Amino acid sequence: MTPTELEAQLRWLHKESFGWALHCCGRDEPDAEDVLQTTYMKVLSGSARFEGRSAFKTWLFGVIRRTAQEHRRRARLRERRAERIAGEAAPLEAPQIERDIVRAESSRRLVEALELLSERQREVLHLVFYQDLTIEEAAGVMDVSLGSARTHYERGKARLRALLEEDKRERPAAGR
Amino acid sequence: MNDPRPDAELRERFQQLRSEDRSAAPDFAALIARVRDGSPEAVGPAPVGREAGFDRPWWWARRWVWAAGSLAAAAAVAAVMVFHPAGRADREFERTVRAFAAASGGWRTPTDVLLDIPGSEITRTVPRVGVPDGMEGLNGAARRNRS
Repeated sequence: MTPTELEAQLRWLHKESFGWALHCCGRDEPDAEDVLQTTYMKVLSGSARFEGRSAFKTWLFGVIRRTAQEHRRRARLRERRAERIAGEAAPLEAPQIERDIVRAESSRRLVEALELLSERQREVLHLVFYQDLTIEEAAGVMDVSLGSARTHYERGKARLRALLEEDKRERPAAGR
Repeated sequence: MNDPRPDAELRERFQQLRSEDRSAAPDFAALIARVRDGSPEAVGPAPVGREAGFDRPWWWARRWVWAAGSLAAAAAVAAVMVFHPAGRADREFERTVRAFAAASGGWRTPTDVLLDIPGSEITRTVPRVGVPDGMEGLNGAARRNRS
């Protein structure tokens, strides 16, 4: 794939990629932007090479996922060092859910419910329902077997449904 | 395990979230421009352990100076221990005593004789079984006669 073709693919998938990066960064927008930028640099510089073993989107999402993991690891290390230097243990910041943007109530509840699932369950549900990938493609992005992805998908879906219904019962007036 | 209910509601919620996220996505061209510029932000966070002045201890930049200094100090201490005049005199005295003892075939102090008491050889020898004391010569003669 030539650099021009790569760039065209990145442009085509940009908004979906941002959505995935946002998910991988605990919905922190500046972090998601950093991760996306680093990913694009890896792709365009050739340090992450697409070899055609899967769909481009699946491969790209895998790169974004790994880059976000590296980013989180570094951020944690930086926080720990900063705490040591400051001499006081500042509490680690939880994922910033809906901090900067006022979202629709329905989306806010969905994000809150997703936070209660395991990471794998969140990932597979995001990839299937948000990104419209098949479970098999999601397994490729998550680097797990199809069986494992399917289990996470089914359990996650059941739990998410239960959480949303529970929320609906608790706040009937708010509606959807 | 499979839930018979359709996933339409979940899908709808996710799609709503997706449309909100799409509006928050950064401009692709600006992002690519930053990547091409090679600006510090473009390369993402610096690799762990390479952020100047933040992650290394204060002495890190001068580590070679510190290592060389420590080595020189250790060498100086060793040299003092080997070549100090007091140490040299001690070693010379020991050498003289050892030479005297060797020359006199086993040096003894002048008062050693006071420690020699009758029968004291028992404490320095191992008795032999079967041959009475003082009869070794006779026993040897008898053995020679037999052969």
